[in-house]
Amino acid sequence: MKYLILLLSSTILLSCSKPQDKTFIVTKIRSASKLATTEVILNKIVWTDIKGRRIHGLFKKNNILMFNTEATLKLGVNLKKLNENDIMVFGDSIVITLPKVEILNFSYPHEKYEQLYPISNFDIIKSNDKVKKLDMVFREAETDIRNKVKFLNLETITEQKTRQFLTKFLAQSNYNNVVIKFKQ
Amino acid sequence: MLLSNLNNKVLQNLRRYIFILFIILLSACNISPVLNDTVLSMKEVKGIGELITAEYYGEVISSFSLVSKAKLDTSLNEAYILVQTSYRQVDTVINNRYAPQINNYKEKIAKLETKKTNAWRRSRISELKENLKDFESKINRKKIKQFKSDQSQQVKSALQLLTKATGANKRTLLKHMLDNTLEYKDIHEKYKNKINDLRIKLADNKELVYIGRGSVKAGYNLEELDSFNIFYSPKRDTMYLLDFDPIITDLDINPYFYYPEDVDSSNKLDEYDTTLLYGFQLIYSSQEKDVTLQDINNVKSECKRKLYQEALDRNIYQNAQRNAEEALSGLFGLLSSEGDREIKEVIISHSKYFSYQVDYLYDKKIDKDEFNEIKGIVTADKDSLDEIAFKYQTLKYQLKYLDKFMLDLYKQTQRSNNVSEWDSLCSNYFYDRKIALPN
Repeated sequence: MKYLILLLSSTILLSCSKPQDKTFIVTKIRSASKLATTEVILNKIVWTDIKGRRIHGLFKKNNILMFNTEATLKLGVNLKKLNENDIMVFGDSIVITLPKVEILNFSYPHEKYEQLYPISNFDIIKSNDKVKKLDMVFREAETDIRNKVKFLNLETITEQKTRQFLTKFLAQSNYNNVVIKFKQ
Repeated sequence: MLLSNLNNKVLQNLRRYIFILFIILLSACNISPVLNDTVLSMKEVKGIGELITAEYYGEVISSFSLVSKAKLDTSLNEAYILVQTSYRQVDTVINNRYAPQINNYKEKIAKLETKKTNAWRRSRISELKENLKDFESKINRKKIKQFKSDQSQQVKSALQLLTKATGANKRTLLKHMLDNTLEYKDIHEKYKNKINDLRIKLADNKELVYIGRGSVKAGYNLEELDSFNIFYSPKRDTMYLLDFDPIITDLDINPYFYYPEDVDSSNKLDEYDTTLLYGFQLIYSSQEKDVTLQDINNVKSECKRKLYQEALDRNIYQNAQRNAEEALSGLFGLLSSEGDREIKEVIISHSKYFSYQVDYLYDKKIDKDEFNEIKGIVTADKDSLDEIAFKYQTLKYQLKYLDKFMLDLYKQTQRSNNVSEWDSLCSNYFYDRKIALPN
């Protein structure tokens, strides 16, 4: 009997998932001043085996989940970090030193998860925690994308696009020579 | 001997403990799916020019039962309108066919009623009224018979859905549909318990409740600015950006939710300078094994729709405008400080269609009243210039904004439960204007 109690209590204790310990306190409108100059669309195949829960899952046939997913990043500069000393005007020439480029928006929407039938068929999986597992898969995928983004050299591309955009934009204000630099 | 017995006992106990420990670990081990490593490929890089000036970070909740209720209500409403339109056509045809006979009865009754009353006339009037009533019942039966023989498979299915949902018989429903004072919502009110039963039955005990945490960002597309909508007033040192509408640049609920920790200050604005939470968090589910991918997507989409509405309710567009005026005043102020002109203020005004667009897209679908209003706007503005809204401008300039208005409405209401005529209005408009239908 004591073994059974020990078994049950340990199972309950160990199988409880760790709750999120942070809370989101404020919902409000924030002011911003960000200039997005580059939009990057990334593709990632998300592929995993989803198993049944606990012991019986070990003996179940694996179910493959495979999705073609798309993430969209917007990059640019935060104009709030720009100050008076960063702009120098000489007649029709202008030199602007912009803040470092940064990711202004990261979008990994569920509408862009395309399931690859017939290899993957979520609907036929008969598991009582398949939704939780599916969400877990996409969370892992998001982390993976965010980790890999830094290797894509998006900074250089964004600096180039920002230069192109601002040169064109400032030409409307009669600045013929535009020099754009970026803070390191 | 004693030592050997003791050893055996210890070994036996140890084996037992190892076995129990193995079982505990095995049963407690919740096998998480492991993501296989795949590459990240860059599909497209494009230049944009968006000025993001307002951001809303929020939290919403939605569930499968709420979504399926709304979906069933929409289906029933559509079915009602379809059957009603079809039955009213039959009604008009039959009424026209038998109008002479009915008028004949009515004239006879009216003639007798105008004359001095006596016993014979009274009995004749009641006899005629009785005959008229019989004749009208006969016509009503004919209408139903005719309707049954004429109805398409689509109408038949719609009527079946309505009878199944309400439990009312066909004759009662059809009679309701001929009454101009009654609408679908009256039927819904009358049979709401039955409809709710059907919804529960269709849901098959499935339930998913999601909390969605995400962001809505608004601002301006600076690429839309050209010499036609920028005006400078040297007297006031003010730059006017006319017909310049704010846009929702981003609406996102991602798997993870990143939000700036210091929501009250502006020191940390980096995307990564954040506190982490789940974006979509499943807080309750039942019968998960029967849940489909479509069910999950529907609930998640509903979360996004609610987040968008919350941002609108908190005046994200007004904030975007105010902040953009401030940001652009600062930027143009810096740019013009050493030039021959000085810009101290930037004032932005919306185009005529902006407030309509925000209003119509609040629920991301076009209903009957909105459809009629849009039709009116298109009819009025397609061929003649609205000189009050577009002062000193040309019809070509106005059409540029009308095209944009229609394109935005069309794009954002695609695959929504719009009023049935909406698609044909858009197709005709884009065909007339020689604009390719967006995907």
